[in-house]
Amino acid sequence: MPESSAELLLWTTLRTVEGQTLGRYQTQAPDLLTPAKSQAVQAITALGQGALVETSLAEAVPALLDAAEGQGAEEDALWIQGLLLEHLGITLYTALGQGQRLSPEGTLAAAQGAQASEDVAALATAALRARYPEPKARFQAFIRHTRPVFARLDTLGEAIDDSFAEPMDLCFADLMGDFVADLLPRCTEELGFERRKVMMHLSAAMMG
Amino acid sequence: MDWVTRCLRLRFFDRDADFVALTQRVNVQGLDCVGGTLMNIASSLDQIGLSGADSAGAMMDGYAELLEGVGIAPRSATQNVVAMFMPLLRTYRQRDAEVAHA
Repeated sequence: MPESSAELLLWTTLRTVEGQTLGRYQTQAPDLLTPAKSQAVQAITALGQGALVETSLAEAVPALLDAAEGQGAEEDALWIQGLLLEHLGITLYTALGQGQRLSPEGTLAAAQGAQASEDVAALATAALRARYPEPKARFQAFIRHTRPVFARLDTLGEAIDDSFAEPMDLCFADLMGDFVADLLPRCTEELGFERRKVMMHLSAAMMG
Repeated sequence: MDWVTRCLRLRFFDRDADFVALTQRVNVQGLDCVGGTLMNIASSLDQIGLSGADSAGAMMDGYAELLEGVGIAPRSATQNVVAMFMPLLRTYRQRDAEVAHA
């Protein structure tokens, strides 16, 4: 079980986000609901039985989830949950698994989470390539669907720094660096986007 | 730039960590300066069809390319540059929000 209040808060946050993700997959993109993803979320749920109230995450997380709702269509689940949030998951679970940040159960759940997110992101990418065969239309869909979530990331980042920078040495700027560094090759090599345009889209969304 | 890039490749051959540490120190100061300038001229940029956000994104990409040109691995280059830019993006967003509420 979590060995610190920070770890409990962390898993509670992830339980909240992954709960919405699972719901989206169930109703909009069942192919992304892999057995490994279900098992990873079960492990996270077991660890995250706290509450977000009275933390800076109490506003930031619902705001992110609100942005991640999209229009309720399959393409929203593919872009927002399947590509974007799973890549955030890869970044976060991988960072958490390094050093001695977590309990033994937490370290195992982080490893499960990272692998499951990697697999789902690959499935989502393949589905997006098939759904949008023309790269220009694909890029337009990417910026349309992902902008609201990118726009919320910095507010979430402030909350992450407030809650986890000291107890867990987790810094949002570094996490974003890792996130973009991992997302970019998927965007350029697999989805056919221009790197500069992805960077400009990210900065435009985050700067408002 | 080509000459400086070649010079840096030679000077920091096989010393990636030292070069990244240098860029982090230098670029943080540089970004404070450039970022402040960007914000001060943002309204002028808007009038000619450029945005501070687009400029920041292009700068991130350009800086990452520069690091790659000196031999830093692409993933490490991107990670370092994006991490350095995050405070600038936050400051710009917060300032915009203050102006909007004023």
